[in-house]
Order: sequence, then structure tokens, then C-alpha cells
Amino acid sequence: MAGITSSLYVQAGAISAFQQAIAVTSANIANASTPGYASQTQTLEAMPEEISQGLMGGVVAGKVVSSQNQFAQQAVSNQQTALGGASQDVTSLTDLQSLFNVTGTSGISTALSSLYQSFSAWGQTPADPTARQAVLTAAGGLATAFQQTASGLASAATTAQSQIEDAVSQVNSLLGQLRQLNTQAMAEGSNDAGVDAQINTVVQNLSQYIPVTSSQQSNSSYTVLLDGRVPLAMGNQDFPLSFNMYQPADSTNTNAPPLAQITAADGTDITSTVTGGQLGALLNFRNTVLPTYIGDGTETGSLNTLAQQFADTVNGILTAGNISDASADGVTPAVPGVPLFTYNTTDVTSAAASLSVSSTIDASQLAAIAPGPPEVSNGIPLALAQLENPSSAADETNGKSYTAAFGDLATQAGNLVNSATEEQSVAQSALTQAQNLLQQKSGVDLNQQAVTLVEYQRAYEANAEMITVLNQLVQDTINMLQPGLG
Amino acid sequence: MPVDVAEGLAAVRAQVEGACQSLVLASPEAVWACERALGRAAEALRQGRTVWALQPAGEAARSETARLQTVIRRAGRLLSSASQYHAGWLRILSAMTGGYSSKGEAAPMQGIGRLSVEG
Repeated sequence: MAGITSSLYVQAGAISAFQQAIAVTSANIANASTPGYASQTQTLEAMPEEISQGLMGGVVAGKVVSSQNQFAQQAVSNQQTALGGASQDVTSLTDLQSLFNVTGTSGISTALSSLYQSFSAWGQTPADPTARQAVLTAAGGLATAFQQTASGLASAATTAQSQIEDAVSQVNSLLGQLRQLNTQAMAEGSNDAGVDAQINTVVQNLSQYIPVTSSQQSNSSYTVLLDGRVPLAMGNQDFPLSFNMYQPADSTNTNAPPLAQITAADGTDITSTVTGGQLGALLNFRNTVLPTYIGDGTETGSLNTLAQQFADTVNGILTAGNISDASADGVTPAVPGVPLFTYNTTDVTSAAASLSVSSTIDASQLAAIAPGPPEVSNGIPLALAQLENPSSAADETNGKSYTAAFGDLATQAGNLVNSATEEQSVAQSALTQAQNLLQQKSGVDLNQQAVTLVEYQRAYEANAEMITVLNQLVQDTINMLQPGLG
Repeated sequence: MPVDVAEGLAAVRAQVEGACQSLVLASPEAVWACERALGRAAEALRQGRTVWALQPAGEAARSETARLQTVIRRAGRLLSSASQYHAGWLRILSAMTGGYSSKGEAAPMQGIGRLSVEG
């Protein structure tokens, strides 16, 4: 009798197990077109058979193993983060580059060239009021160009600030969705493929903004961490981020533009943790890239340095000259030159924005006479024109002419855009690659995977050798062609 | 192999771009196809250099060289990401089949055998 009972028990268990397997297969079919869903497999576990111990053998349904494994999903997330960051870099840096135009008919480069031309013309006819007025006009044009570039950079900072705020808001909205889905997953029990798929979709969206890692817990919820450390979603809780602007404690330029800060739900500053994704790219642009031009609490900014040094150099040359000579009898002294440019000297980070032609100077006050000895009646305009192609270190900034120094700023911006564009293209391909790898993972058993991985390893080694050979060949080709390149 | 330097370099670049497309697919067959494409690119470059050494090279060649370097960098990056992915997956599989060593590292990959009994 016991044998019949055992047999019925075993068969009942097997029927139950296979019913669950059929249910899983049905879910696979039903969710075949659901975004973020990957097929699942029902495992069957053999039960120990030892009749004397009351163990009757048979099979039961084991844990459902999702072929949408977390490893493959994480790889896709990582590439989403890389692409999100690179795409944002391209957008931000392209806007930045447009402020440093060196080929158009406007901007600092053109205004600088016009001012040098006006110095040269003045040197030809030092007493000509028209030539003198042209200098004031060109100087005003240069000051305006610096102001406009500084204004453009300030506007880029404001835009980035607004975008950071929006990105944080988007992140928090997605975290809210995760909390709701986690709550649903915990309530409905394990293996709800539909909820899993929705959670995966939200995590992928989140990855575009920040680097996240996610892992499923035994209660079916997903724990999502920022950079593997900072909790963002756990069980039925979410931990929203906050954004604010602040002036670092070690700031020496107290009027400098503030920096963006991201804090975790517990108030911890996690700005340095957000190093990838759209939010990471925006923080880098706002807190690192822009300050190199417009300054911050601890640095002046290259545009301000350029404006300040150029104004000081021109003013120094003019004030060393004389507007008029002393009278022959010595009764009337020589009238010294006056500064052409003014700027806010109390805030080094606003030099470019505040650069202007002195309101107290008129054309007749431009000093043309270099007192010497020997005195040269047009010595000052000639010295000013010489700034275009300086012959002494005193007329240079960082060992370069002012034109070349501005060109460097433009080149720097252009290089950043080129790098970002290349990175965006690679990141897009790498994301597609990760998505392809995720698809390949589904439905492959361990035996087949082991064989495949060995094949991959051999192929990767061969490819890596080929890349090394190609790099060397290209370098040799460059060296070979170099004399003929023009 | 084209005699013109820029054209020759462009032909090499096309081979490397084909390799990149294979790496994006990332199937075992595609990765082997990538290795063959890179091999053809290397051979073309090697042969071309002997011809191009006698030719004048200008701005077009300079630009094409830069483009070729960019696409080789891209191939290197895609190779690296796919390689890291499978290396990571291999570690997980090793741990699944062989557990962990005393140092906490994934054990070497174990052969997975199957036994079928009939009758």
C-alpha cells in the first residue's frame, strides 16, 4: 500500500512540476515581444529517493533560472552609461566650440586682428584723428568680443545647471518607478517575468543618466546602487538624489561662479561618484571643463587670464609713452599716456566679462610718443602693432602671441569635440555589441557556453595580436610618409 | 593595392571597418571573421608601404592616416569590450561549475559532462 501511495505522490509532484514548466513556457511566448524581456527556463530538481528514510524520489519544480542573466544586463547598462555620457559631451562641447570661432568674421580672433591693423595704421599717421579713432573703435570691438564670449560661457554654465537639475529630476522619477515595481514584485512573489522586464527597462533608462549596478534579491525585488556603492533603490524604498550649487570652502575667488553638487538621500556629497552617464558628463562639463575658461573658486580661467594679460600689456605700453612732449623750456612737462582698457580688478573671474575701453579716454589721449631715448614719435603704435608677432617674452602670454594663445583655446575646444564624437560613435557600437551579446546568452546551455568561451578566448588573442601589428604598421607608415606630408 | 597613398589607406580602412562590424555582432564566427579582416588589412598595409614609399604624399594621405588610426582605435575598443565581457562570463561560469578557490577566486572552468542511461 505504501508503494502505491508513494508512487501516486511522486507522480503528483511530477505533474505539478511540469505544469509550472508549461506556465514558464507560456510566459515566454506571451512576453516574446515585451521590451526588456528574455526567455526563462524552469529547472526540475531530482528529490532524494530512500524509501527507508521516507524519501520517495521524483521531481519537483526548482528555481526558475532567467537566461536574462544579470551579468549580460549589466554589460548593456554599462554601455548605456557610456553612450549617455558621450552623447551629452558632444552636445555640450559643440556649443562650447562655437564660442571659439577662429575662422569667421566675428569673435575674439577677428577683433584682435582688427585691433592690430588699427595699431599699424595709427603708426603710419600717428597724429591723424581718424586713425586714432579707429584704434578706439577696434579696441571697443575686442572688448565686446571678450564680453560676448564670456557671456556665452556663462550662458553655457546656466544651461548646464538647468540640465543637471532636469537629469536629477529624471533619475528621481525613475527611482520612484523602481520603488513601485519592487513593491509589486515583492507582493506578487518570485518569477513575475512581466515585472522583471519592466524593472530592467527602468534600469536601462536609469543607466543613461548615471552608472548603476542592479541585482535581484531573494524577495524578487531589485537593489540598484550608484557606482556599486550608493543605494538608490532597495526593496520598497527609493533614495532620491538632490542637486544644489555651492562655493567650495577653499575658494579664494569668492565671487566666482559656484559649482554643481549632487547629494545622496542621506546628505552625503556624491558628486565625485557620478562619473558617467548624462549626469556625469554634465557635472564634468559644468565643474571641470567650463572653469578652465571662466574660472571658479580656485582658478582664474584661461579666457580671463587672456583678457587680463592683454589689457595689462596694452595699458603698460601706452602709459609708458607720452601724449605730448615737454615744452622746450621745460616749463610744461610731458603729458604721460593713459590706459586704454579697464576691467574689474577685484574679481579675477570676471576680467573677460568686464573688459571695456576706458570711459575717460578719447582719441586725442592715445599716447603715440615713445620717450626713448631716442624719442620716437610713433614708437608706441609700432610697439602695439608688434604684439601680433612678439619678439620679446614681455609681449607674450605663456610663451605665445595673444593670437596664438586664443587659437589654443579654440583648438582645445575643437579637440574635446572630436574626442567626444569619436567616443560617442564607439559607445554606440559597443552598446549594440552588448545588446547582441545579451541576445546570444539566452537559451544556451552550460556545455555549449563552455565550448564557445574557449573559442572566443582563442579568437580574441588572435585579434589582439592583429591590432598590435596594425598599430605598428600604421605608425611605420606615418614615419615613412612624414617627409612628404605637407 | 592602389598606387595612390590616400586610396590605398582608404582600402585598408574599409577592411578594418568590416572587422568592427564583425566585432559588433560578436558571435564566434564573426569574431573569427574579424581576425581574417584584420589580417587582410595588415597584409594590404604591408604591401602598400613598399609602393607608397616612392609616391608623393600630401594632405589627403595625412587625413586618411588619421581616419585609419581612428578606426583601428575603434576596433581595439570593441575587441576590448567583447573580450572583457566573455572573460567576466567565464569567471561566473567557472564559479558556477567549480566554485571558488581558497583565495576567493573563481575556480578553473570545469568540464561539464552528461550521462544518458537507457533501458
